[in-house]
Amino acid sequence: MNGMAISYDAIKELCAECNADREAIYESIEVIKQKLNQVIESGFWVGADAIQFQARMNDKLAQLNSTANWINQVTRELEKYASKMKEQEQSRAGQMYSSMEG
Amino acid sequence: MNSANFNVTAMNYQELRELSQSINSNGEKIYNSLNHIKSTFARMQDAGFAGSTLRAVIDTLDKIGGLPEDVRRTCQSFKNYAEQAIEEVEASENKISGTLTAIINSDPKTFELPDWYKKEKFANTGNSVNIDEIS
Repeated sequence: MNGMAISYDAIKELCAECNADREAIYESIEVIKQKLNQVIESGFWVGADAIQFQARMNDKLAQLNSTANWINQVTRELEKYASKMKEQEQSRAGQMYSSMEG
Repeated sequence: MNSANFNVTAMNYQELRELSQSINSNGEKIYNSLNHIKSTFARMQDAGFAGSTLRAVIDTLDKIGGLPEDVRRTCQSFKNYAEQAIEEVEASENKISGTLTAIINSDPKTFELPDWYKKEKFANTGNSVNIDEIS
């Protein structure tokens, strides 16, 4: 990665945005599941139509959930990379300071 | 979908409308969040934070680009189902209300039950409707 063009703080900020979006996705998935179950468990919507629709919706929600999990992994990797970048910068700055002192 | 799949006594239709609206608005939220994530990663790339991981993220988001749209469509189709269910419940209520009004305004001697009622009520028996039996 070319980490020189973007600062550690900017990466952290963008990762925080991603995390907030991911949390919002998880919350929405739960709400949709609950509401859909409410419609079906109430006995309002019965028969093959309802079962097929619920299965299709659960499949989509599972897909979204795994996408959100994957985004979480990538965001963590980016954060780790950004931390490493910051450590390297600090170390370089320390070395420069030491050589100037010397 | 037909009305046989709905048990209209199980759920109040306003409640169903609220549920369908909630499902739909949450579907929209997911759609917006995924798009926002995509633009966030793109901003990182624009800022020069290039690399295989980030490229892989954007590529994958592009590949699943259809997913948010798919979710939106699925939620929309559920909303349509729910709206259709509501319309059917409302139509049933109107039918019942119309029949009650007709009964109230009718002359008891000449009143006849509506055809739809005869068909539904006596479909299996083949019986004809006799106003004297009802009264």
